[in-house]
Amino acid sequence: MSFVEPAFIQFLAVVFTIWWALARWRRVQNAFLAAVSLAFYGWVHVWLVGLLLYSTTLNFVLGLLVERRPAQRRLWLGLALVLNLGTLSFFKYFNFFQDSVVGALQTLGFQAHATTLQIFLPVGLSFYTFHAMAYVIDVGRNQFKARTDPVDFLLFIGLFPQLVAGPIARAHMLLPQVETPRKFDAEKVGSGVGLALWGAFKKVVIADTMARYVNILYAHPNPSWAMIWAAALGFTIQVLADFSGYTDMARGVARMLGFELLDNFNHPYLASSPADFWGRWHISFSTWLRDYVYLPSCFSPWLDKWLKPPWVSELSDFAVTTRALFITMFLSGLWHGSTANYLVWGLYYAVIGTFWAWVAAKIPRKVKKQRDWRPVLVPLMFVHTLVGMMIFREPSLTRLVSWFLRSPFDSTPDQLAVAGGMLMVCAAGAAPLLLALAWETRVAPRLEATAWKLPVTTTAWAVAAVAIASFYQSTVNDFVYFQF
Amino acid sequence: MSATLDKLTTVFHDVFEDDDIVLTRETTAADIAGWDSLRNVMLMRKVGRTFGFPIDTSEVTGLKNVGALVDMIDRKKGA
Repeated sequence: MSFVEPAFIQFLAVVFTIWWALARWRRVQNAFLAAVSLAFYGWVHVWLVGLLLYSTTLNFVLGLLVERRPAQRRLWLGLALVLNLGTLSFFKYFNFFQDSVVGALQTLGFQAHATTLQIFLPVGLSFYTFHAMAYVIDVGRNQFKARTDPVDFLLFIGLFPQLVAGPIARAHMLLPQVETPRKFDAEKVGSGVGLALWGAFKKVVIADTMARYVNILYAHPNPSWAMIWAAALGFTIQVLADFSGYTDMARGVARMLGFELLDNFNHPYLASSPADFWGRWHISFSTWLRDYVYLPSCFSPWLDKWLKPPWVSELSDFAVTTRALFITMFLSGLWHGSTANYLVWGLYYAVIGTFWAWVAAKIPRKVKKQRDWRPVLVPLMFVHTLVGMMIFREPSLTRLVSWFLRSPFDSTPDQLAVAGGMLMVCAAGAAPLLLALAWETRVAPRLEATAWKLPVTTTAWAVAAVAIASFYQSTVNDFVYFQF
Repeated sequence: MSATLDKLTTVFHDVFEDDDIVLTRETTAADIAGWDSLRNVMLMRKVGRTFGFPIDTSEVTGLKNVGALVDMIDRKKGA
């Protein structure tokens, strides 16, 4: 069930009422929400519930084994990685491997046919697998006590607002909330409703509207340079509105039920470097990669032994962090999908990340402190982001290369008009996002604790609700990140 | 100020190229400009080299503030 289906509003209304009616009995309340989360996940395909229960049981048991059998800690941690990543890889890459093997055999002249079995990736699997793996690793690092209550643990993994596309919860943040009695707080509920409405607005009004135009331009067999870059700008706005819209809905719904989830976006297009970008974009995933891939790669004696030029006795800090960045971004690209553009996209971010870090290290501190360089760096980084989004959006590398090689002066007047139209759509899509930024930084702090707060906020909600209802289409696009 | 905190301050000056940094046990990443993931790795590797022991990932991710880092160093030096 998607957050923007009308059925979800009815579902949420029922769940919200029963949930708060049970507030006096935390364990009953948790059991209820765990059951509701299973029903939510199994809404379209019942067998998905089995997969979620498998992941939950596996990681619950492995967490206990890691803690209670310290002598075999490495064995259980290794098993957790193999089983979690094995399950994820099976669903994510089965079709790719099958098609690749059949293609290779046919090239060699063998008669080979793919089986009729096509595996589809269960929505949310990536997200709750990472969520559960992080728990077991944290227990293994002695940063967290293994939990013994299976119902609390099921709710921790399966809590429905964050189940399908995150934010990827971390045990130290979410488990204590699951284990503590909740008290109804009207102000928090109101804030949750506002956040969810804003998220729905971003998805329905901005992202889905942008998607219609972006898709038309991307479907063009021979777009001009101006059309390509206008479409890339459109997609850049669309994907932010789509994914941050989803995140805000998830956080808003969770807040209505008394849970605080991680903020996943912090104005990523205002980043002033690639490292800054990853601190602002899909934060729950990039911090996950930082803690469980990047840092272990920096401090791994195994990598120091095997992934180092034999003539070097010890790698410099720069070489170690560059190696870790390439490993991390390669895996991030692989996680996004098996098409070549995702690997190129990961490599692209590794290269620009390394280059920016290298340049930053060369610039004297005195020059860096001389003035605020953000007005120069932010637009420069945005151009890098635009290129990244182009790679991310287009699966055909041949098409991508031909686009990058196009002349900026190749457009006919008609094509320029199309690109101009797309830029106007972009401006219309970006305007509410910029207004929201101004609201957040300038208006909201001044309204706080004044009599204006309630009427202004309520009016903003009403406008958002009317806009959502006006723009809503029953054939609403799926969220971009559901495919991952 | 403990001898460890003293020595650690020199490491911070070196890694962050800023001799004005004053460390207390309560100092966190939010208090020092430029303390991002990259700098954190450089810092921890320098800590390992300066105090003469290897650093493990779990030690890096588990630290809450400079006080926790000082305690970790003292523990490893004593081990």
